Amino acid sequence: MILTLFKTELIKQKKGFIWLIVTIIPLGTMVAMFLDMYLRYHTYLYGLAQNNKVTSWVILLKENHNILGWGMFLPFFVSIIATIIYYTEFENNSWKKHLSLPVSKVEIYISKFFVILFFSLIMIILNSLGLLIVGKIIGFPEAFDYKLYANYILFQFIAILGVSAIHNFLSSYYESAITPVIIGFISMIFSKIVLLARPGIAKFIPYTYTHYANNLNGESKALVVYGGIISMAILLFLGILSFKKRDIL
Amino acid sequence: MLKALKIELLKIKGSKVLFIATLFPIFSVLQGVMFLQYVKRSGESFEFWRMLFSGSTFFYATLLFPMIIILVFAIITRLEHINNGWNQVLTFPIKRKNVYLSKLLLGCIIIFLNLAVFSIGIIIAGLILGGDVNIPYNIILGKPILAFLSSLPIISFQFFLSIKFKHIGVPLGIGSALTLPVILVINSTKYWIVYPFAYPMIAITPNLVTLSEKQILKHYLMYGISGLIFIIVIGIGLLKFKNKDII
Repeated sequence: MILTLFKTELIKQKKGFIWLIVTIIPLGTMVAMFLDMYLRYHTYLYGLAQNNKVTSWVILLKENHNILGWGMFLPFFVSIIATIIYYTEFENNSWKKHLSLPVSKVEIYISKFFVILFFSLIMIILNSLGLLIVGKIIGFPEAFDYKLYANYILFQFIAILGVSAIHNFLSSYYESAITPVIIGFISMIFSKIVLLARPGIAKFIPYTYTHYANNLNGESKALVVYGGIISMAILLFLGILSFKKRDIL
Repeated sequence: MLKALKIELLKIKGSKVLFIATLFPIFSVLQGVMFLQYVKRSGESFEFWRMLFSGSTFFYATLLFPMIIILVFAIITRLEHINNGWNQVLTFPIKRKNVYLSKLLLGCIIIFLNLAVFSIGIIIAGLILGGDVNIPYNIILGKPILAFLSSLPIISFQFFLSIKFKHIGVPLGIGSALTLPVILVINSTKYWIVYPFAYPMIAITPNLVTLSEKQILKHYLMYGISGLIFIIVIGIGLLKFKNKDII
């Protein structure tokens, strides 16, 4: 049943703005990274890669994640995606219709969560695809590092699990679409500050996990995997409990 | 016009927009304080006020300020997008032009308030931290005013998007996608001029080195371009708004 609901959700979004958002954001990052590489690759970044004994693809990934700020912004983009997905229900007042169908609330809630993950994953993949295009246009001498970028996509996806669960809850809870987005924005800024000032505490904040998703050493991997999955399990469970009790009139 | 503005002010009374406008600059000032303390600990010589201002502005001008503009206009136009608010507003005996301009003016006032909180926050934090009374007002108050002027293209563009699209995700998504590259664009002395989202950062940064004549000219050009884009985008937006059928 969840799969059917998931497909229904995708049909609902077929002509929606969600496709515009998940393509325009990675397009923006691609243009920005192209500009960055065009201006600095031959004069500085290639030398930096050689000095650090890494490939140009690693440098490109780090520029995208740390300098451009993709790692910081990603949870905020997830909050926008979640808002758009729930917006259709509030706009058309279609909760009533949904809940009069012979489908459990839990299944509706989980299917929405999967839709958020689906569109977030598309956005993440498009971002990495954009990086591949930038590297090819600039003419990196090394072969494309498929494994590195596949890992990058995978770890970003795991890192957003907790944030997706939070915004699945917030977007279902607040009728005003702006409130979850504001919460997402404040959390993004707050988590960045905590990450810089108190890294020990930052490990417990789901909004910080995307920051670690590029640094694929053992500790960061564990943090992303355990943090992402555990926070998702807890927050999704709490969200389901709350959603089941809610009267939607 | 004044009447329309008063109505707009009443509408935002209970909204979160003023909270956003005042909260975020405080974050940035706290960051500036942390940066100042870090520099103090390093034992290097530094100019107190300039350092506090620089530490506060980096995150603020590259990220927070453009995002606040995006959020402010998304919120103030959303009030009309929900529950067919445009229909109600446009049945009032107020000219469409006044409705449009009063919303724009309201947004500008909120953004200006945001900058005022930022400047005043820096002064208060500096005095608490033991800064001398010779406060460089030309930087702490002057630079944010320039940042406001240089942000006119962002203001007009986001206002246009927020009015045009009912769905809040569109101005937010496009605006944040355009804010992301700012940090990269400002590194280019050649290309920043073609990217208006980078203007506030350029305008607010204290000049730590003497600028060449060419660079100074580019700065003046930036304010000219800002004004021009603002007039064009607002003009197009107003024309569209006047002719739009709102059913």
